[in-house]
Amino acid sequence: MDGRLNDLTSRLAEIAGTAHVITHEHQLATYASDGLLQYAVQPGVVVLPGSAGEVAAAVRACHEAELPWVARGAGSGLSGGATPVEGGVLIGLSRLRRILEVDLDNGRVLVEPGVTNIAVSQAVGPTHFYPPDPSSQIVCTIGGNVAENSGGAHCFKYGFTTNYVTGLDLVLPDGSELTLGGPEVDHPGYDLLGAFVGSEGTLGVATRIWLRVVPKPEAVRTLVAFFGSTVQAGEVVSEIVSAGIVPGAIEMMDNLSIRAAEGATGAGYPLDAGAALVVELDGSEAECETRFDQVVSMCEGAGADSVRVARDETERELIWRTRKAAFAAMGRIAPNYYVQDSVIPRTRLAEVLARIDELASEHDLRVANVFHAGDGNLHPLVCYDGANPGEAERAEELAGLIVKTCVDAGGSITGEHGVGVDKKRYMPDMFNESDLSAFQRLRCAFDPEQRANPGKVMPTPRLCGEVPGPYREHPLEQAGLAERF
Amino acid sequence: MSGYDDIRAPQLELIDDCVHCGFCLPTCPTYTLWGEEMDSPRGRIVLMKEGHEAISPPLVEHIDRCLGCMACVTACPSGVQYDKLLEDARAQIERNFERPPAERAHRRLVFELMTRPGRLRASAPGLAAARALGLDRIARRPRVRSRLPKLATLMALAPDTPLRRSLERLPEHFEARGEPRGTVALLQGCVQRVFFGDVNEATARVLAAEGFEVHAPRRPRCCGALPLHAGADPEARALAKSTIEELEGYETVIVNAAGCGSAMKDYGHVLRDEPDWAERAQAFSDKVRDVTEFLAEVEPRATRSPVAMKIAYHDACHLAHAQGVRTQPRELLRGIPELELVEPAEWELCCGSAGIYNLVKPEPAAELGERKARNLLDTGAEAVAAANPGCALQITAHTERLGRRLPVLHPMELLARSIV
Amino acid sequence: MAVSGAPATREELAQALRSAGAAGQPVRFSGGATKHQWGAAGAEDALELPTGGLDRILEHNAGDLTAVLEAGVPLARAQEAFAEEGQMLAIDPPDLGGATIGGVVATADSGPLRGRYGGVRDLVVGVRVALSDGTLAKSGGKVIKNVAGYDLAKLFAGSLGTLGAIVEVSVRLHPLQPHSATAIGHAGDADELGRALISVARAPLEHSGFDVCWADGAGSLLIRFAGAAPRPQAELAERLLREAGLGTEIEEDDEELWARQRARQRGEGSDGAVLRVSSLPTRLPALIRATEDAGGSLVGRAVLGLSWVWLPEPSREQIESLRRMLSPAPCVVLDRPQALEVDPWGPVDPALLALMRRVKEHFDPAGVCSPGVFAGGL
Repeated sequence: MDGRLNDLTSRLAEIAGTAHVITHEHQLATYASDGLLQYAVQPGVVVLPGSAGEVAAAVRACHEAELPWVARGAGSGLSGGATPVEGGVLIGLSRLRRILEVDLDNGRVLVEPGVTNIAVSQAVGPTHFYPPDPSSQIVCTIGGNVAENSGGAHCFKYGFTTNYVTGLDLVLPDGSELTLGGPEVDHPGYDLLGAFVGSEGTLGVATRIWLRVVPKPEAVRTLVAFFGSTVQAGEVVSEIVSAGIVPGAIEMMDNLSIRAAEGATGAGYPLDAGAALVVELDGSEAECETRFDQVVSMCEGAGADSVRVARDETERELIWRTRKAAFAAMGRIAPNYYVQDSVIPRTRLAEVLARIDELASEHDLRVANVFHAGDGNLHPLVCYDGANPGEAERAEELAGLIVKTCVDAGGSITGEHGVGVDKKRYMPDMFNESDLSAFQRLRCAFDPEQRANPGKVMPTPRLCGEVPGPYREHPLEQAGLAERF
Repeated sequence: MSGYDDIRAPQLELIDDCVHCGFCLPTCPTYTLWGEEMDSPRGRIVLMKEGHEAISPPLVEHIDRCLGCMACVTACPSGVQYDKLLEDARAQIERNFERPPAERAHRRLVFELMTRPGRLRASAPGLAAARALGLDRIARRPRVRSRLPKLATLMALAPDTPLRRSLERLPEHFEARGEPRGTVALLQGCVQRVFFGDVNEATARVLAAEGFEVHAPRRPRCCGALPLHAGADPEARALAKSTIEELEGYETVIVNAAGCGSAMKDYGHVLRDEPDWAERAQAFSDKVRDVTEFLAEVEPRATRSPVAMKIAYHDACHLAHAQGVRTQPRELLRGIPELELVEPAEWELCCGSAGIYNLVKPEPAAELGERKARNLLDTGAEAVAAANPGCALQITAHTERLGRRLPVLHPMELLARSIV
Repeated sequence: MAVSGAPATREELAQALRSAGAAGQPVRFSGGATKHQWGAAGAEDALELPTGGLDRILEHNAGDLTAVLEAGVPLARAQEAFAEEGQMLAIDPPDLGGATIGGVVATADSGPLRGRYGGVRDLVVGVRVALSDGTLAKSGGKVIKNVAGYDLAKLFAGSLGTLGAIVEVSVRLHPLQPHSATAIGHAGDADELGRALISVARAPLEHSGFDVCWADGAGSLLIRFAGAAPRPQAELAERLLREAGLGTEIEEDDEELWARQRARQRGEGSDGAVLRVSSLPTRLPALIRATEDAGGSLVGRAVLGLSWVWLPEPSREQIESLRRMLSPAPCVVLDRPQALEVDPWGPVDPALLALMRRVKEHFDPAGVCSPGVFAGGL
């Protein structure tokens, strides 16, 4: 193993230049985890290619050396999708960060995978924008968004990454290159593009991506309303949706997350509020005005303690910055936490939140809630102190129960963060053996040798061509490169 | 290879505050330049943790490459105290890591020169002569820049303050105009007093015009910001103590250099483990105000006359990020009739001066300096307002290098022009 | 072609498929049989597996705006059911009668709503499929937001039944809008029309349909608005069209207009051919000219660059020539006379074909699902 890695490392240095191949253990430690610190694995070598050609050559070199690799954008992901394989190769895309083409007439942008999400909107502003806007958009990269099919606050109205990618250049795990789709929609053939977006780096790596951008709405109106409880706020959400209003975004924060976010941005939010509801409407000036007044009345009617309407872009920006800081600011109120990403049908919101409260008390832990109320995507943050004996285990158990509750309510184990490492264990709650075997077929078609990001998504590693049956240890496991859940 | 010693190692509790979200990456100048995790705040925190086991050469290199601009502190949602971690890490490196001899000598030279106004004044005639002989232009040539980056940088940055001006000394006392509102001390600084004496004079006159009696004692010679930010712990402590001794008698200590203000507000932390000094230092820090901070807190008294200029405001890192002072200087400048204030793109990105950074890491400093210069020039402004001497030198050098030299004025100089 | 007894449940269909797979017997899945002529000619001895027996609407969760349907549910019946709750599935392809949801997904057919709401790939949130080795598998779920597992729904959409049978579909719904109004702009010059298109496409308008039609030297842009009060937006659009030099009007009784747009996607007679072109808005004038040269007409989603070109007297040379002229925009031949010998799919990149072949082999190991029908001869 060591000999192969050494040879591969030399080869990678030839491809990307010695300056861009990282081998010192301290430097490698900085790449050991993505946004989930609890999954930290030391890679064997990190390579930072500077062009699409170098990416393809690096992947081919790994293929020839028969060593696994993991692609990484900004390492801001929340499912451990960019966690390295122990002693394996990490391919960082952070140097491929050029915006190659901007075509507003056709509403298209061509980017390299290391371009940050916000940079796309900045490049097409002020007339256009790129709608999928994860909270980490200032740092997360388009390549990572493609891997996870990222959503964001505005996806209830506007959709997800997969609805905005029309084509990409792809490097397959054997190092060969091909193009799926293009700037045009509806290319003939299987929708491999649709299968690739959201495949979490297990089918290959994209080196150029065609994105759709759209005109910014004529008007936008934003408010944040404070309620005594999440149940109250939830009622308003139901009212809004029943009235046929499709807001640009509806977000909810509970008391704990309000306090964390307030600590980060000092927006002046009441620290005793049970819930904060952010509602943003966008569209034509006339529609916006009418609908907005309706929403304000609904909030007041439901007993809001206060309603703050953003009077200008600065105030609007502060509302969003506060909301988007909520996760990252959790460090202020809890030493450790598990961040989750479960989805439930929106109509079950009140019931599930109540159940989460119950479970939290039973486990004697606090759970903060931030969520995309419009599409039922919850982000429970299970807070704990790893220094207290047994608390980490209790927190993990609670996290699992919350996920199961959501799946039982007809939901999903992940709405936008992806399965990665973190949620592999819950896959069997949603998918049976046949379902998983169908997934495996897709993976094998792209990656017969299972080298691209092994150990992610699928709960148990499988050989290609394997018949479903009793569990047998996979060679990757034997080599200590993959683990069983 | 050893790890940290027991004297103030970067604290694990502070390191654990980092949740690895990455929000600091886009705002970090070195990550913007190179796109490598080790040269990002998030990555440097990981390295600082590793330092408990061993201080390796790569660890030192990546920590050295940090500009100490604190943009990450502004950006961090979790409130990680990167400034404190960096201070401790740098001091540990200086004590426990053996630098190559040439590098050690270079750093020593910089410290010995920079913190001593007397020596800076003594170098002034030499600099004037070099300029007269055109050596600064030679230093700017690409071949010289690439072969002798440190020397070329030194020459390019050397201020062209008129010789006479750099030999002058500021009066130590300024009477308040009208009904006195209070007495303040003004830190003269080291580089500031010799090469930017105009700024000190403008500051004092504005304060006086606003009704404050100003004392600008010759001592302390230096507040210790440069050694503090570079990890030269013994010098930093000694200069902190002498500054406290000289100025703690005043109710308010005014400072007009961003780096100095940030260092003095940090004294409580610098001397936290010395029982005789800890409280005294903190009490002192509580009295320190940047001049724009101070003036924004009081009712303006002196009439402002028009200054019809288009000015680009440059946020000095140690004022904007380290002290959080952004709105006050802008307010003061907007109070000047007919002054048009414009904002450059990428305000949060350091200009590359960063204390002694541009002297010890000239290549990235130059890349950042050029980027800042372009952003400032793109505003179409005729001059730049910057509240730090290091920034002023860097911006001047790099706008000059682009062929469109922009004059750099301290906000107090503009205010002084406006107040008759 | 032989027809097997119509399966009534998904297990029965999976069983029938499994038997065919074991016997190496080619099959063709059949819903409303409205699009069997699409794709290349399949095996002559293919066994028809009807899906009509799987015709239940399993769930309609109005509060969540989702529904779960068996593949054999006729789209028209589903829409009626949704309309009772003031909702719709935002797919409106031309329906020659009896088109099923399974068929619509398998062919990735679409209509004018595509411009606003996306295609089947954007509206299907989960799918259950039967494979030729007997596997019954699902992916996705029934919530709108879901990234768990791989997105097989996208893979099966538009696959023309060559990977397996779609037996169940979960979809997201949208509120039905009470009123509509369409702004229409007429032009006799393709470039003028093209400029007007870009001008309106770049404006911040929320249209629910943005189409073009062109025939006999003249054409129109049609921009539909739907909502509580669509007229003001329609007037805005009309003004932009007028400023671009087009003759304009607003039609509030616009059902007929849009029905015609849909209908013309299927051509205008059995002797001609329909060519679906995937291009870009800025290339519309060139496409119009090429169409005119070929003596044809077109309709399409102007804002997406997606068009259906009608060739009344098609020949292989004509189609190949059009393909060359329009390249790199893909051109797929849909409806056409049986006698016309032409590759409906056009050239496929060899590297892409190799990957598609591997996907086909993994999902249909028995090789019996409409063999030869798909792109690249798959």
